[in-house]
Amino acid sequence: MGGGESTIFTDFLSCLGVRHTVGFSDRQFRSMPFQTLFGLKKLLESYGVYGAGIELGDVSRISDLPVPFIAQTTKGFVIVTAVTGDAITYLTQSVAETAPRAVVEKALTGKVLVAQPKPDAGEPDYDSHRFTELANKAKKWVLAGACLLLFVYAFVTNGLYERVSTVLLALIDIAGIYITGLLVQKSAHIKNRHADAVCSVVEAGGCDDVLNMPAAKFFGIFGWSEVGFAYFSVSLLCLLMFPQCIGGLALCNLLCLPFSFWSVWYQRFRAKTWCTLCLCVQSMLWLLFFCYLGGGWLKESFPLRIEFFVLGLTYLAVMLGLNAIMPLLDRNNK
Amino acid sequence: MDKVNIDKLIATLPGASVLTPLELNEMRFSGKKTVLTPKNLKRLKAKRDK
Repeated sequence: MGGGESTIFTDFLSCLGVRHTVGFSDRQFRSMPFQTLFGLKKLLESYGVYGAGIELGDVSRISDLPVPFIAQTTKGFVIVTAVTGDAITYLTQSVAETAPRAVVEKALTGKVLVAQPKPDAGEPDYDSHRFTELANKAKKWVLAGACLLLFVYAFVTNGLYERVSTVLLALIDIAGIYITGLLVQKSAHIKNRHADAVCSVVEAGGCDDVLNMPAAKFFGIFGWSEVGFAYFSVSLLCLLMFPQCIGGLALCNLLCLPFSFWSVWYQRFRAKTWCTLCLCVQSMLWLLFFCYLGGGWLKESFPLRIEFFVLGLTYLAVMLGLNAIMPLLDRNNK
Repeated sequence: MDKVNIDKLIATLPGASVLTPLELNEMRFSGKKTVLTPKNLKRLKAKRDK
């Protein structure tokens, strides 16, 4: 189990050993006009699982029920997966827990849904749904493979591998895209265990605290995470596709550096908490600066050419585009 | 679970009854995603025991 995003319906199907696809089954559950136990019972029937609601006269008799079953508690529903003499194991919001039997029984209302799958129980059109699910998973890998091949092609044909500074610039930009991508996900309230793991390095909860402050948005309009993601992604694409514009990239990086002082000052004195992901971004800005400096690219910034302004416009366009789609990504808007 | 098995099961549980469709329809899944940890359960039990 795990994941935390699946519904009680797919968790129950998994416990019953009924073959199903999470995407289709969760959609079926969520699209029920009335999300009640009666609706779930009907939905289970369409999968070849027969269920019945029972009200127990004596809650302590739950050990006589065939597991798994859905039990109502005063705080919602759980799937009871095992009942032993002194403990009950159950699934709550896809999380497996075990608690003393006396404690669980106190929380139960006595109303349960028991179920029994037929030998041929399963999701309708399971094979075609399974194929679609696998194809959707494969799409991600194909996308990653295509991006990697394009990266290698541009990297080699433009001779970026010949200088240490350009190799480091590309690597730092990739790391920057990853870190700011995690920040964008956090801003959009999308749960990501990697983001949570990185965030807890310096101060647990610090990222969320800082990202929820008004200062996390530039003039209250653009999230700094969007600005960062646009910056690193455009920088990498420009480096790969138009390496002759590297002077412009160096100057843009130089112009971004004052932001790092403000960000650290804000976290230290205003927010009074540290956002690890934000600190990583500041460090990357400085690492990029040292690479541009060490590679001698800064002096290529002048005289200013039209490409520099085109680059500035590209940053702006990508940032505005990302800003426009952010409300669609935000889980709190769904 | 078919009717025969249900009846057999009910027979083993004194005081148990089958919930009607109406009763089942009143049992709604809440939009809230409360994880019922053992800690929460202990708190609930303490409240009930008071």
